[in-house]
Amino acid sequence: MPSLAMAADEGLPRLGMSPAEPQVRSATPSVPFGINPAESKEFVLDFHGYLLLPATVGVHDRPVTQRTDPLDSTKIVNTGGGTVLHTPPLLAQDLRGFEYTGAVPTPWGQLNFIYGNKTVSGTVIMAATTFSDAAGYYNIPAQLGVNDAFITVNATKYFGFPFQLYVGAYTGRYGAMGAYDAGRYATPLIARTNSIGETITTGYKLGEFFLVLEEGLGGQLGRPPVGLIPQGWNDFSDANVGATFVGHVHLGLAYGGLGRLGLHYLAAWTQDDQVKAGTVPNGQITVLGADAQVTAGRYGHLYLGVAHTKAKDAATISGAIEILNARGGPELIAQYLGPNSNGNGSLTTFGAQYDLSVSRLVFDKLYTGMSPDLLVSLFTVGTSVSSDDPDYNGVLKVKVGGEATYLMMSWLGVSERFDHVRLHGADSKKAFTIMTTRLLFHTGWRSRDEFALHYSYFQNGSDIVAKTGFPPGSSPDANPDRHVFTLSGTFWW
Amino acid sequence: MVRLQYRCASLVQIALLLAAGTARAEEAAPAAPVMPAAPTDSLPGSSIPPGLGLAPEAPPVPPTPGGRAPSFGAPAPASASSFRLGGRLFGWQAVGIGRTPGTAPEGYSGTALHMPALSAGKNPFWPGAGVALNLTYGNSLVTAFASYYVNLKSKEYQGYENAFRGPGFGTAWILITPQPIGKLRLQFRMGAFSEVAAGPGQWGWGIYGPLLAVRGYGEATYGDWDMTPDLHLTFIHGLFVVPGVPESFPRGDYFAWIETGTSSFVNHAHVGLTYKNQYTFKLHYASDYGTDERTYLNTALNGLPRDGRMDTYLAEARWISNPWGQVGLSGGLYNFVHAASVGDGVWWGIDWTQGAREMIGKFIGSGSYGNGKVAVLSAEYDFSVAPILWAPRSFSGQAPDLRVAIAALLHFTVATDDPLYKKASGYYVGLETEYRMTSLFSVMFKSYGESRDSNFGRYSVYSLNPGIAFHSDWWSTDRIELYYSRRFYSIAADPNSAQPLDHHMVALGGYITF
Repeated sequence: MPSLAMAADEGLPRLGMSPAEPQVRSATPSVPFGINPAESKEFVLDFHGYLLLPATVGVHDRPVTQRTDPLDSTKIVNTGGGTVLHTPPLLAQDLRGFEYTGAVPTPWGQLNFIYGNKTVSGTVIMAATTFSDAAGYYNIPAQLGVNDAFITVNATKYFGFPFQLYVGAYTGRYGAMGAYDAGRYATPLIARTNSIGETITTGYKLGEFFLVLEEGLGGQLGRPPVGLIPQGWNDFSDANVGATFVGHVHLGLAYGGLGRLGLHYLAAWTQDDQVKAGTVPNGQITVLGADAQVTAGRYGHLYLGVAHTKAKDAATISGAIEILNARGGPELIAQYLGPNSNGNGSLTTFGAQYDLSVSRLVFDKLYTGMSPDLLVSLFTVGTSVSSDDPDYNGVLKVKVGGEATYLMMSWLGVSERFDHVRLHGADSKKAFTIMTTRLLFHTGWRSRDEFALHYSYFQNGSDIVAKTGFPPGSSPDANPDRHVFTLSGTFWW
Repeated sequence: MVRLQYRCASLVQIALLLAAGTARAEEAAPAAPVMPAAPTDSLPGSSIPPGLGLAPEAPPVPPTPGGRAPSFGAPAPASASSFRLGGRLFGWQAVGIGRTPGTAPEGYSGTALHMPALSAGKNPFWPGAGVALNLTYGNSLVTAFASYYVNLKSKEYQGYENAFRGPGFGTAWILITPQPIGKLRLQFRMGAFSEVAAGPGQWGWGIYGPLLAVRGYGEATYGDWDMTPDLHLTFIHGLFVVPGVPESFPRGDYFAWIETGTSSFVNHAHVGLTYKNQYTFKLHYASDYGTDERTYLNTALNGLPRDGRMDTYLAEARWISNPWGQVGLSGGLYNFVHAASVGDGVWWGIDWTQGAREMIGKFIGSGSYGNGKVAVLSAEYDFSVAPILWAPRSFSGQAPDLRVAIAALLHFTVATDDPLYKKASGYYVGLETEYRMTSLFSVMFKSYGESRDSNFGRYSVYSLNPGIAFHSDWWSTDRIELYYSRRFYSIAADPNSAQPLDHHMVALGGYITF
């Protein structure tokens, strides 16, 4: 009998544990499981979510291939050819690589469930990068399940100064170039942590200044089993990464409502003797970064950031840390340091984003966001690679972009976005440009919903390749798309 | 339905927690002098919380295309929205009572029990155990919906770890319902979802299901126009894309066997007239266009890859009259052109048959290379005896009743390149009855039959399924059911004498919807 019903049937003898009780070996929760939440005055359940739902089509020049006719093995016939539509489009837009711009949206959905009161709350986030009823196949790693789970304690009232504690599995994203998001490239400039552990944030006000201090320590729940074969179901995991820990400390100084300076230090390391039977040295990735946010009222929002990432024998570092969206040492090597680097090298990264509302610039506080506006955004990220792999040493990668969005009516807007990406310094063969035109439909001037129709034109350098296949890999034979049409829906609550 | 307390991202709390973009359960904490002022809006240049990183609650995505909309957790105008949690909890166990294998060694004895049952054809229940959660948030203007599927999949219950049983997102969409334009009402839906059409059952489904379902990522536009007080026009148009699968995808390993190398594009349109909410007539059209980019694999029919299409033309008529019940009639034509290169943009065809490939295999034959035409006619009559007996008094459903559904479906292969399927035909028949004796107890009898031409001769399955059901009230949405099933197969349906299908099956299960 479910324990929820036990309260009403207290006289019923209990012969075993209720199937509704948690099957964990840890201590019994201090509040017995099964108490009806509605009977508790203080705690409430909250629900939030985010949906990004794009349908994307690429216009593809299909190669001609010569095939043996299965009905007549003596006959060789040409197949393919022509211009066709296909989905997903074939683009140099790998999220884990520097080429990612976010100009062409990809699916993301998450549901946040929060239970708690103003002092303590628990959060569970279920997320996915696919929706099985619309997908071509059931891709197990794309259904992330419970992606984050953590407890938040706000002990401000006990300490007399701001004090917040996170414990659990959650992300830390430092170097977010947007005011409320990770920026136009959806890439934390300094680092991202994916760990199970703790983070404490505290602050102190000194006149108009506000000092912020944050520290965190965590690791991953496990490591790939020794001998694990990379396959689709395990997202092609690398069994040669070790148990990885990440510690970080941050110091910030905010001044009034004008902005904030931040200093960041993160270190991820592994000292796992199970990696290649203990024959490889311990790995380490450290990041030292600084950034600034300026909120200049009518003059807009400016973000500036710089980071120096140093990798030492980093091949064994897992995805507990991400540098420019590259998870751990293996992806840092694949995307930046090169296969012959042995995970040794460094990245010096810089980034900036500037957002401006022209109506606010003109009308200042008279403008409330409820009338026509022209939004302008300029953004850039670059990184200089120093590596033990001579083919990758000295490479400068830069991407710059801009977007202008004209909101002409409460339900209609248009935008034009420009992106230019250089993957290897001045080498134009390894560069590409994206021009994206969008029609935006929404239910209000500042509503959180949007339907958008996009057209993106890709001007690809001759050495630009798109990843294709399973697992996705760079194929020089793959002919990247130049024309991409997208219809997307977005809403959060 | 459960309505839960909702609070939008608390600005004061965001500032207190020193993190940008958060959305939590907390009420506004008491103001303290050491706190910075909370941001008031998300326009560029407005002050932001003095946090050092992005809150863990925020999604890892760029701002909304164009950067117009406030990002997740940013200050935004409050809206009066509600949250609804619905869904279905279900659990079924079916045990098949086996027969002696034709290859049994001397001395073989005993009765084999199979779980799940070894059977073919339609069952009186949907097997499996789990929950489908339907989460809706929004208001009369904007609504978001997501369905989340969670099924038993562990070694403890499934016998093996079956990763394909979730948990995972199934459907998600955003629906916008603007103010009516005169007598015209419009809706726009965008997301990952399916559209279902031409089911002859009372609620659009029926015993043998709709004749068409399309799916994918895409949009749909819905229109309703009151032409006169009695005459009502509806129309729907939509576009879907179904992402392709890499040609190098390992089929038949830990993944299910899926068709690789093709992309699907679906264009569908529907128009209908309803007169006095009693007579309905609808026309449905869907085109599933597939581009084939295989460079070394052949199609599932061992043909060379080439672009193909599957077109569906259907008509639907319905008559509803109190107390006589409803009669639904749907029919039309499926046209296949090199359809072995068409993916699963058509989610269901006849009898929930999935996609072009399975429709080809069942109805025009593998020797067709995906070329052919199939005609279909499906009908269903649903009625309830008590309203007829009580007429002219109204029957509320709170008394004993006998409910009956009778369905039949005919299909005929009009054209095919497969000589074995030329002029092939088949039928489905079904009867579902339930005698609601009391508010707590019902007796049921369901019977199904299907017969069609196949490569191995006539494929036929028939079943007789008596059962009982327990429910908590006349109109409750909870059921516990027990069935016995006697099943009959033709040789073509049960060809493997070494592992014969079960002729007897016992099933116990239940569900509750909310």
